[in-house]
Amino acid sequence: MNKKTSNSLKQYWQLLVDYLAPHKGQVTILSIASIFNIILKLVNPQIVRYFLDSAEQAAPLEKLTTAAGLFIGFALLNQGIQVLVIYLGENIAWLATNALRADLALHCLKLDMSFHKRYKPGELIERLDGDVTQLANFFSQLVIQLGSNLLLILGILALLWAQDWRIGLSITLAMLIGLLILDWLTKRTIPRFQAVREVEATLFGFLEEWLNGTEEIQTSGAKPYIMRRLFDVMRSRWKKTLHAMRLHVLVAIMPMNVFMLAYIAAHVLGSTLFRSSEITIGALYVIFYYIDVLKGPVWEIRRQIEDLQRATASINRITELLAEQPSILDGPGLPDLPGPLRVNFDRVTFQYEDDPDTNILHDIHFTLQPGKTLGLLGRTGSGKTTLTKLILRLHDPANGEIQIGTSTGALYDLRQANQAELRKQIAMVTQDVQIFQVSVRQNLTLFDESISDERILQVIEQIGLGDWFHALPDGLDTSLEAGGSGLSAGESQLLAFGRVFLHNPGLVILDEASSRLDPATESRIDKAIVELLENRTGIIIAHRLSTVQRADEIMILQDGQIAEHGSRSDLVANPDSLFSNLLQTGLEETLV
Amino acid sequence: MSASKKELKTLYYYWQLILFSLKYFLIDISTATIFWLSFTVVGLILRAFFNYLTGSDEFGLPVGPIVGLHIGYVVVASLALIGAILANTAFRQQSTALMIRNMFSRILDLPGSRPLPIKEDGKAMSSGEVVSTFRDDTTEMVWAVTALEDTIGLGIAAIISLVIMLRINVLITIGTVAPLLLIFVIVELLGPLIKKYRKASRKATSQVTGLIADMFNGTQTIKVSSAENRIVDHFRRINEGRRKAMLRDKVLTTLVTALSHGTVQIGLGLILLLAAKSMYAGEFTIGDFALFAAYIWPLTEAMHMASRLITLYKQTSVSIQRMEQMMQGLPPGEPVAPNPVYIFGDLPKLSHVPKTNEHRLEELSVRNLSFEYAIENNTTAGIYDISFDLPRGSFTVITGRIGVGKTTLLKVLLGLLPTQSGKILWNGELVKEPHAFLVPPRCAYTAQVPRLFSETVQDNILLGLPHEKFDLHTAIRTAVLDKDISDMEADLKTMVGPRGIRLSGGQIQRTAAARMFVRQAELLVFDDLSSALDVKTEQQLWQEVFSKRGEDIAPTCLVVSHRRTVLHQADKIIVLKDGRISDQGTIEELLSRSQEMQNLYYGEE
Repeated sequence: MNKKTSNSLKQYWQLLVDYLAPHKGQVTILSIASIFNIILKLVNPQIVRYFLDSAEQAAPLEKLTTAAGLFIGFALLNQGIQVLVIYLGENIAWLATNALRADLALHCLKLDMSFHKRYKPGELIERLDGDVTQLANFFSQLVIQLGSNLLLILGILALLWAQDWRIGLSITLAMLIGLLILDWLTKRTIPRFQAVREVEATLFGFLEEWLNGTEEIQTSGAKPYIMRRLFDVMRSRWKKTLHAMRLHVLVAIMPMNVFMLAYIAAHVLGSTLFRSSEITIGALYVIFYYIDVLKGPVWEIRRQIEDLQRATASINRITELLAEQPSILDGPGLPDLPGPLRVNFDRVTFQYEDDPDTNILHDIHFTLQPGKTLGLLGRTGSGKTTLTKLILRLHDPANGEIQIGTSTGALYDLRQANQAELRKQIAMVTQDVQIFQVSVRQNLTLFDESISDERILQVIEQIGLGDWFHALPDGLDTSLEAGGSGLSAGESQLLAFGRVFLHNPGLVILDEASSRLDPATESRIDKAIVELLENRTGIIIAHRLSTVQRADEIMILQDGQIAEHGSRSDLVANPDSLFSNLLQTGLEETLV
Repeated sequence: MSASKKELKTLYYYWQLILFSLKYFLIDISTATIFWLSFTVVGLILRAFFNYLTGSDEFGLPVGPIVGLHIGYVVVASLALIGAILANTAFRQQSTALMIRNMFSRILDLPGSRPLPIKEDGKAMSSGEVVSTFRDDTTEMVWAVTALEDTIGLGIAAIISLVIMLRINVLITIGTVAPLLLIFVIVELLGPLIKKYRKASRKATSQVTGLIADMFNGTQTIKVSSAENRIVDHFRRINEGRRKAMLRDKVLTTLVTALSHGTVQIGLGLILLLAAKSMYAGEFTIGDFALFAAYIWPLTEAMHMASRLITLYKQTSVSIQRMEQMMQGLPPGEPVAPNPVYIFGDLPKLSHVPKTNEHRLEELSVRNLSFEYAIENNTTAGIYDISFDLPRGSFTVITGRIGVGKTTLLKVLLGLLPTQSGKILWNGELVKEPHAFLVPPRCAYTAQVPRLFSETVQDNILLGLPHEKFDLHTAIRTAVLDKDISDMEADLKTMVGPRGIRLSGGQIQRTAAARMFVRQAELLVFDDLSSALDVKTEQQLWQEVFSKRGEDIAPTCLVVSHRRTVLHQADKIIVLKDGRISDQGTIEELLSRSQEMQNLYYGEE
């Protein structure tokens, strides 16, 4: 067995053990029931042998009838237990795959943003739902069913050997040849089926993405182009599927051909043995009967192997996903940091990993004073948003260090922080608001059940969504649509503010947060923003003078470097400062 | 819909799918029949074998010919099975391609802001739920149709077997087969219950898929709020609900299966019981017994397949309902209307409609345009009675508070939302279908929250336009995107990632603007373009747009903004308040007489 196979087997086994362990009780009952059924299947044919031999020897009628009755009774029992087996199997499958699905979701959510740039939501849906569901059968049925089928086969072969060693041998050989060929074929089909699942993920990722882009398609007149792209993807799907099927058909015809060998052995050897009176006619018939019973498990094994092929492809993809590690690792954790936060950038440089030659940020060196608000300005693409992402540890700097601390205490390297704890202390509002298909309450608290309803209602009024809220039929329980289409862009923005107000962060980041609000609405929640920034450190990225008027300090970024940094009053007073110049260019209005 | 109409519809779907891939269907059915007939042959071979050995008067064959026949039928059946599987695959691929194509095409023909169907609870479906339909309902539909092929094939084999059995011994045949038929009937009766449980389990699956889509579309929000664990806890609860629904569905289906499979053994037992007397009397040979025993399986399997076929048939009405829901308003049967899918041959050529004089805009007029939508039960919001004119080359600005209807107005104008009442006139003529008419080269649009797609920058801008015929570089320059692109490592070929995540907010907005500009449309509609841009960049952009003002080739512009620079440049400003036009005029006129304009301009007191 080569290393690759033993690695795959180890993966299966580990996955199996981890997710079935909590359901030991059900698994045990399932196993016992399956074994009991095997025994029934082995015993019943002997009743037929007895029947046929008795009939040939003209035994009394009652004996025949009793045998028949017993046979039927055992058959019914067999079926009843089978239902139990399938029920338990299904239950275990769902319990186990649901656990896996949730674990995978959590794992993916904890991976960094560089991972999420590589994988489209549609593809992750295919993995979390499509691939994990493929495993359902693997968990519940594969081991138990495969095991019991193997036992059944062994039992039958043993009985055949007991009948006559030549028959036992030839049929065993037939089975072995069959299994070897099947194994060889299976290995070759696995990668082909994996390719099929991948192209299916591409197809559904494509559909999901463009279903969200119907406005763009319509207003750009791009429908023929998109349809052609669809045809292209479906064509690849056909090609890959055909490629897999070409090999799969050989797997499909294998059992039939293998049994042909077994039957031929039974015909030739059986008739010889009967002729020389070494076996009775009943025994001869039962040889054929057992071969027939063998078909069931072999067919089952074939199906299980097919499922295993698909499941293997899925397991590989899931293991790949689980192997992805976040590059942002939690440190030992920081002590409690109450009050407004102080942030220090110490010669920080940053590039994206897939584009290491482009410096997004270069030699950033400054201190964010606690309790003060910093207005961060610069052309789009100058690195402002990236800077804030570094404070949140959505990325780590390439060079240099970022430090955080309280207003009077020590400063700690951000890399020492635990990400979840850190982000509880910092709040960010961006332009891009994600509304979830859950209730208003859950959208505002983001599933934090410790926040009381009174507090939520208070905040709703505070952010100016009172009117909108009172029109809802189920109040906080009203569920919002996907994509937030029940809310206008401005209302979504207000909701994003609501999320922040429910926190108690030491640092607040507003990234173009008011850009979708018209000046009249913005001044409405202005008061709330002022309250929010009081006794907290703040960073505001905006284009409007009115917003930045609130800032204590101003920093201007150009091409990833600090072009200017100082207190707002100083910069305004100095006519040569970049800030003053910017104030001039914008005519009356607002600029940076 | 009456029950019979539903039946007809399901049959219609089957029929259409069969016709569409007729060649493959016929190959599949004929090869499947040959395959299943091999079971009939096996029974006959066994009978001949035992008859010969026991020296019976009935027909028998020695071992030699027996082995030859055996090899022969296996070879034929193997070839038939290969043919059946391949034809079946081709059928399934083409059929699902057809349904996906039809549903997707229909969605793209609907108003772009409301393309997805509304569910029973009044909310629109999410893209995740729609993908669930595309994936699962099409698969189920195709399973149901392809089950026909095996069922017919096996059915023919079963009938032939039955005839052979009857010719041997009528009583035993009937005594064995009748109880099996009874089981078949019981399964039929369970039909409605199966359907109910299936519907519930599909709904539960949709919910799960919907939440997964949410989680990965909103990952940054979740991370920033440290909500990873909490949302996954919620996920666990939804998963649990699905488990319960799936189990109910499965238990019922399993009972049906058990009944069917149990029948093989029960059938054998019945043969034993009934044959006892005849064997005792020497009327029923062991060869006959072997044949009957061999035929039980194909007979019960045929019944099992028939009942499965019926169950699948009933279940497909759920899938059909969901697919038709996707078609929204089209006559029934559209998901399976024949249309080319190009999966076996070459892809179609992409043709492009060049701009001609026919597309020229002299004046766009809007008269009494209204659109109302419900926000949860008793309240409505919308725009009412909007009228204005856009003469050629003019620059008109729409302004107002948030939620007042600016974006709604643009969307109704462009047909992204369906018109409810009012008229749109292009050069004096009524526009009957804005969503098909007001598109490039007449009209182009940039949304307030533009979307990019996981393609290259170039593809995001062109979206299918032939790049030799369109001036990409001018569009990029007008959108003030040229420097950003030359800074990117792969230039125009840089991949922007899902939803353009690799670009900054401003870059996304400007790429969308470039997409609008490159189309050389007569009318440009901008919804609050500037929200992601700093003033300097924005000014540059407007400068480029304004630079051609006064020339005949200058586009007409309709812009939503509250930027003072833009307001001052406007030929006319339309002020919206509470969904109605509060006033129209130049900035000077409005500042002197409109309270609302003053509030907006100076901020509220």
